Amino acid sequence: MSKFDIKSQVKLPLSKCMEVVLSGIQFRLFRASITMAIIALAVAFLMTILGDSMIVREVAQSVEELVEPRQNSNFWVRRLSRPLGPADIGHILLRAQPAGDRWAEFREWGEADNEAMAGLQAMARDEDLYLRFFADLPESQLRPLVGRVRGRDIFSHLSDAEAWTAFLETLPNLGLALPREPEEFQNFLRQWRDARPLVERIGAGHAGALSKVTDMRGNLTIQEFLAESDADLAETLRPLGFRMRTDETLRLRDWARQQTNMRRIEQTLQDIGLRQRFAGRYGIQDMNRVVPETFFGRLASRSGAEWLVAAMAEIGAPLGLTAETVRETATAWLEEQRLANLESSVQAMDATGGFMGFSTRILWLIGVSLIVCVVGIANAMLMSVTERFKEIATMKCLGATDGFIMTNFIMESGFQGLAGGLIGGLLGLLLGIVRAALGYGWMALTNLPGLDLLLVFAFSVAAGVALSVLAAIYPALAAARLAPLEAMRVE
Amino acid sequence: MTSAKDRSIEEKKPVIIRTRHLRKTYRMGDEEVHALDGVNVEIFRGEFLCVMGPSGSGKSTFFNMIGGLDSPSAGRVFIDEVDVAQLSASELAFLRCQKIGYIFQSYNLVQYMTALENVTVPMAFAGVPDDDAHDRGMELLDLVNLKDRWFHKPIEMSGGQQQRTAIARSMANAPSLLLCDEPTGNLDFKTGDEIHHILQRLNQERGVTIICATHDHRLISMADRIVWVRDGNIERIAERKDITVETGSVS
Repeated sequence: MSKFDIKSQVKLPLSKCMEVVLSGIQFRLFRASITMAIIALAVAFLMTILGDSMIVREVAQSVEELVEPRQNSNFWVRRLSRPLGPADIGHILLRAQPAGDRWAEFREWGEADNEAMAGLQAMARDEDLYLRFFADLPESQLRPLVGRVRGRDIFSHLSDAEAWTAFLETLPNLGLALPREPEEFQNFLRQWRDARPLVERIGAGHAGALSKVTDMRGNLTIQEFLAESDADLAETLRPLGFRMRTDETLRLRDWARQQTNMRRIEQTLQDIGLRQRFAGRYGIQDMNRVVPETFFGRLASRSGAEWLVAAMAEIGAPLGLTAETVRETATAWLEEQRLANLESSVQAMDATGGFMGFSTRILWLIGVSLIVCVVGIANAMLMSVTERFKEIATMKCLGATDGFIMTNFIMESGFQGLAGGLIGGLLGLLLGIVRAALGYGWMALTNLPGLDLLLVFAFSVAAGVALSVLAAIYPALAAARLAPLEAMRVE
Repeated sequence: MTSAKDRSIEEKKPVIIRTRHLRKTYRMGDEEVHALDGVNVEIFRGEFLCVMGPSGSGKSTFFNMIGGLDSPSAGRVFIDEVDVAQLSASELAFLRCQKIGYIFQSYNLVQYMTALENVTVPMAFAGVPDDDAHDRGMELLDLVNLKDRWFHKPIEMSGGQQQRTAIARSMANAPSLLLCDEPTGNLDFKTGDEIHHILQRLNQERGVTIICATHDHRLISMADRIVWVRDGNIERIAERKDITVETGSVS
């Protein structure tokens, strides 16, 4: 018979464990800070990449908004000066709002009804899908499939029964599958053929309108013509089929004037005498360095603009612009250059594709760095366990349960993960912002996506904690399994 | 004068630890090593027992076994009539926490805790509320004359002070059994004496059963009985009055 009741050991509240863990970390601050540094580095890496891409995405969006009016103006210039091919028509159709301006123009030129237009638009979307499919195929696969034809010509080529049979037979041999069922593709090919006359009518209708515009502008370039137009331009163009909104008219005219002025100022650089005067005034030794960038850069200031007006007058070829206009035009020119640069670098970003906009290479880098981090923490924790064999065994002699020891180590690692994660997150955020600022300048700083960055920060810190806890599982198990008699060992 | 302890031994002699055919076998390569080879022993409540034996005799294994720190290959250990082998991990933790106090040769204090925090660790494991633990911890430190040093960390204390703190810690949950592994092995002569007297007081005034693995003759001279372990078995058990101990000699 027992003289005392053996019970199960009490379970300690987490707060007790936390007390022990925190004073332990404080005591071993140096070792803990090394572990934290590992976590901080990994989290900073993750945070930099995520944060940077968030900022770039935001920048890309605002760049798109900024270049939109310019794109719209270019769009009008093209349509008022050049005929529309099937590719242009397909492109415009893809974005046309039903019953919108573009839709109405096409309906008028093509003498079609709304139903025919809807069919045409649906066909254009399918066409885009199949065009992309063929565009993505390498040359080695395209050749056996469709021979030498490319682009839209593939569709007319496949209308031939013999070519179609050969195409269907070759497809499985190359291990390829169409984006949709072959029957649907055949269906599309028929629709595509049927839509040819309408597309051609639209093209012809536009060409007719275009010839009238050409007559109207006489020997002026399209930009000069637009620059001298007035608010009535929309009314003038309407009978020809063009639908232009009044606000577009004014914006287009201002833009055309600015462009004309830019060309006129650029023209002055053709004058060798002026180039020499410019180089002399600004102390440029090498005449090759007198390029539009430096030229407009100087003209964007009041003194530079005044100099040009005076210099042109001296040469005897007055510019016909006030200094203030020169300054404004130069500033606009620089802005346009900056936007063009931003646009191309943002497009380069977009082109990488992949998961969440990350290339496979970056994803690999993130993955490997996180694995290295886990291994590093696991190693540090294992060393920490080995160093504390005696302490752990003593604790067990004093009544610590396996669960307490386990919780102790996991909590310790978790705390280190939290501290390291916070430090790394802030560091990474800072680096990400600096990186984006170096790449995109002021725009990156004025377009900080606060909420997105906060979410990414929280995610990175959580990842740091999760990794630390994960890495601590094995060392914690090893500690919990330690026999209490290890405490008796004397070094 | 008859102390509480004398009465308990001489009148009833209740048993606190009993072993039956205790065996422990280690494998070293192809060879089996019998660290303990069928040990039968009874240890009485309130007794002061010294365990002696050269290294490799199985003394440590025997010591760990009766302290609930190691499990036998065969045979049984009863602590207060409870078969230790039948206990779950959590019940073993309870046993170590409540019924046994451990004193180590190298003190084994937790380095990042103050003396008082060290003493109250076993109380925390037992679920004693912080305020009670604080009061009891201070009482225990007073018992070992360290009350005014409660806020010192182990590195700020001498070896003797550390071992006194360790004794206070071992008494945290008022165990009926103290297991001491060479308690004065790392201490000089004079400091060792202080430890001996504290152990003797605990034994005589509180009736705590004390089991010491030691070579120290002064400690042996305080013991009620001495157990000699050799080649995995009990070679001899003697009452102190039947042997002569040369006090003061160094072994």
